[in-house]
Amino acid sequence: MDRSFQDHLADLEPIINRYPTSAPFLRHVYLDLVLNKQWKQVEIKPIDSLVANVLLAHEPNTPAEDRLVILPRDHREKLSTDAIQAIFEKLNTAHLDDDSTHLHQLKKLTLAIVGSDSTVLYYHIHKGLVPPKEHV
Amino acid sequence: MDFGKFVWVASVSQDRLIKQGFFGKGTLSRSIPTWDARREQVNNPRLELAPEQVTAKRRSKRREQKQLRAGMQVTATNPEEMYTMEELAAWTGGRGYEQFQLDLYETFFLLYALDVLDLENKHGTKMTTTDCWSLFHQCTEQFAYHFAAYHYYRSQGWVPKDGLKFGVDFVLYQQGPTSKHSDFSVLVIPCVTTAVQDTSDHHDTTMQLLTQPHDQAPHASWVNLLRINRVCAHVKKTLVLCYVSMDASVAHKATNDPSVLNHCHIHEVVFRRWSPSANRE
Repeated sequence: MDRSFQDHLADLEPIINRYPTSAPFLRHVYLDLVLNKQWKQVEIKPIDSLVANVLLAHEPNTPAEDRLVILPRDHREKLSTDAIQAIFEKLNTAHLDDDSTHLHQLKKLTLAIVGSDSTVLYYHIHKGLVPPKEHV
Repeated sequence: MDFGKFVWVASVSQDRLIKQGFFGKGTLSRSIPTWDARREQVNNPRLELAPEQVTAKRRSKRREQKQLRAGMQVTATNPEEMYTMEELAAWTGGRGYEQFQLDLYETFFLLYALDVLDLENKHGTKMTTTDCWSLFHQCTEQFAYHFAAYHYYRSQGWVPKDGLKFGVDFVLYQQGPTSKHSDFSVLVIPCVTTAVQDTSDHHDTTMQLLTQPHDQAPHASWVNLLRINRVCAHVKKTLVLCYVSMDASVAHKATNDPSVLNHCHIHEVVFRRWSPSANRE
């Protein structure tokens, strides 16, 4: 890598700061995924309708084309089924599809909830019912 | 406070804060900051593995075993999916990215009860105890009640840590998160008491749970308590309901006067599910 990590972060700052209120949480989740969890494929995508950035990331040991849509949130922000439904709708209309990721109607959203002690809790939220996974 | 509701420790005393009470958490670690050590290991493989690495190894082994049992080919870590620590060490060039962070209760305890911490605002001015108290109230609803509970458990020798992972306010450790899992989860229930005087000159006190206007399901409702108890039972923790009550005559100044702590009363209730047919003790 020619550029240092610090330079890389500096390049990302304009995107991160596009939505100032959620910027600290986004920054923290980004560092958690890249530096702590060591994930290589993590991109930041602005979603104007959500007034927030999401992280489009590939979880290791999942099919190569799969991407998680991760939304950082402060733990004090209230959530409801209506609010979650609205997030799904906004993400669908925001067209996250592009040639390489083939994301169609979003079926799974991942919330990255940042607690007061910096712990990040990741929760998958599926749209609709999901049958239980078969355990090996 | 623009960054969030926590405090970053500027001086190099984080070792003391950890060793003398397990205060704080590393922002890139499960509890004590280990990210720098994990990066150092690249140059010195003989260093002991950090808890995060022990967990990662265990999960990786479990995944391999699952793959073997299913007759699948064991997949090694794909370098296109994950950075190695060597790559990250080179990329970060020796610069640290982990912060050592105290939550607001730890901070106020160190400041107020132990008087070992000074807090500066973003202009570099030292803040008074009352300034900190007011500021923390702006960040966290019902800070006074939660802090009273924190202070109460600390003074009994427990190490209270944030309980968000378990849907509660605090979890209590005997000796910090690194040695043993916590046994108790604490839900703080703020209450306001008012003295009621009826016609016969007999004094009585009514206790009312403090709920915020936007709470649709007060968090101390039966349904909510049953939910939380289920979660706690699954992780082998005992649920403790910690009622923190303040008289109405002082409660109104809770947001800007730390002396209200002297007027708090704490009642604890242990909440355990009992199944008549299952338990025969």
